[in-house]
Amino acid sequence: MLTALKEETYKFCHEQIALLGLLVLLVTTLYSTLTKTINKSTLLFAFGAIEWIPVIIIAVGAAFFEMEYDNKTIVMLLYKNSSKLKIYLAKFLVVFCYSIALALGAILLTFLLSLLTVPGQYHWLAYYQGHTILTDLLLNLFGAVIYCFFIVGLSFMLIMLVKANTVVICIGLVLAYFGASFSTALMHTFPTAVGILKWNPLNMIFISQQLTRGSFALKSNLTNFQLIIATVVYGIIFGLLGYYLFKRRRV
Amino acid sequence: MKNSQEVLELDNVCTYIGRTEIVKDASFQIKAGDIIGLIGPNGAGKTTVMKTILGLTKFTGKITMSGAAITENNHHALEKVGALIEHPAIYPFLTGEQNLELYSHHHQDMVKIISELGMDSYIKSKAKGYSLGMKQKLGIAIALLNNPKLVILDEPMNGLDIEATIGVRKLIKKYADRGTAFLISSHILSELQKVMTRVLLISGGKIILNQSIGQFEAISHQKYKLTTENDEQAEHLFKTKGINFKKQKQYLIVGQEDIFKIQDELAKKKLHLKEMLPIEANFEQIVVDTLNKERD
Ligand SMILES: Nc1ncnc2c1ncn2[C@@H]1O[C@H](COP(=O)(O)OP(=O)(O)OP(=O)(O)O)[C@@H](O)[C@H]1O
Ligand SMILES: [Mg+2]
Repeated sequence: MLTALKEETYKFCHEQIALLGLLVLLVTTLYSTLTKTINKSTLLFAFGAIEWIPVIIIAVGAAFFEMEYDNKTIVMLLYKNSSKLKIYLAKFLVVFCYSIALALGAILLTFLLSLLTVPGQYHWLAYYQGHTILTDLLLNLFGAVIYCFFIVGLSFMLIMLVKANTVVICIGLVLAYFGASFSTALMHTFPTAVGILKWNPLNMIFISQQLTRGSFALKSNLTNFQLIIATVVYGIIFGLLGYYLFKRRRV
Repeated sequence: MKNSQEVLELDNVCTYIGRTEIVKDASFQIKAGDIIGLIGPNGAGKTTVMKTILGLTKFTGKITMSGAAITENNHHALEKVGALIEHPAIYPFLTGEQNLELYSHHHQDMVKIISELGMDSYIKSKAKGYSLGMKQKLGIAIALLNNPKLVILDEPMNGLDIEATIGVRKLIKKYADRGTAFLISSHILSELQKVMTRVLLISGGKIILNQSIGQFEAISHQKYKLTTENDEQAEHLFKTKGINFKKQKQYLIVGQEDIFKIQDELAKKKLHLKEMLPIEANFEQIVVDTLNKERD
């Protein structure tokens, strides 16, 4: 397993999708810096990084797996290993760790951008409504990382299903932009079924905001704890489905 | 250091893709130092046979490598197998050398293979800029890493120029002399004819012939070319006696089966043979003939 992890990390770093993802993060945060008025919640949500990290991860995850098929290297990978699970897990872990790296990068970016745009206006350790900005930022990024676990599973499942990067990226964008509103609309339309509908996977997107904004619980109808558990469980379910498809996929 | 140690054995192997049986009851052995040519038309199942050996498909029957079983979920026996299947497996964002390093256990060996294949000049540049032939060579190099006991090459001469083809052929022979066994499929039949020690003909998923190259050439219709003192007279004679012949340049081409009859008839007419030589077997024709016979 260790060798598999090392190999996957090596490939991941050399493929430079890691760098590309970071670049996208940089551009999108800069964009929101330049186009939006910067207030406290801009800082809490890391200049939009919270929304963009999952989009980057779904694209990177799909690309990182599909390239093995595109380059025909999957044949080598599979025959040199007895365990397909090992290959799959190594890839999963590498992409998930990358999402943590992106979250850390987002913290740095937030510090940097706030220093450039609103120097001295907000104090990271000052209390606003019982929280410091720093703890809220960290909590939001923690939510984003949990959501990324879900996203990596989804990304792997989708790429095994549709076998085309662009399709998976589009699904990722649609999810990011309409997922939450679609989920709330769904629960509004069928108020009697909220008990079941609140567990729909689209609802999990609230995890990256609700942890610092209790009011979102009214939209998601889930407690923080429920939300975290459900997100992780969905990540595992998608991951397992992806693994099943991976095992059956012909080379 | 040739010996007849058995490397790979297939016993009644059937391969399935979905519910379709692609490889039908294949049984054969490969011994150390063998160079097996796996030959058959498009869609015959050559690639599928190779993938099956590599544990990449569902199959029934038994495959063993030096006695250890290979299954879909146990590839330990494949440790000493190198392979190039259909397309070279190359990460374009790595250099040729980095691609090799991903699999190589012995740096020194790797360096040797690089120079044996004449890849020194570009091995340190990114593989995405490689030509078809350069990629192909890199794929072959990957298959030769780590002193494999068996090397499986699917159409290895694909995209190689004449010089490279000769180089690869020499390399294959060199490794085989040291005891490495090869299973090679190719459409460039004349290329394989020059290296292989055994022929496996495959058609419609069935192995229809498994012979040493010597046996194979012997069963083929050997043709002879001859000239006589007076070829016009000879031609007339052959026509009247119902002997099939073809004219080719200054020679008359006849089949082996008519040789005795021809000698008799010419002797009767006091026509002397000036020259009679066997023609080297036309390999591609042999393959086509054998496949046609099988179909009838
Ligand atoms: N993924 C697949 N799904 C369905 N059928 C397949 C698949 N792969 C191969 N086949 C079938 O298996 C048969 C053998 O294919 P294979 O690729 O082994 O042939 P081949 O001898 O390597 O041909 P070629 O000379 O063109 O490389 C073909 O009839 C093909 O239709
Ligand atoms: Mg083939």
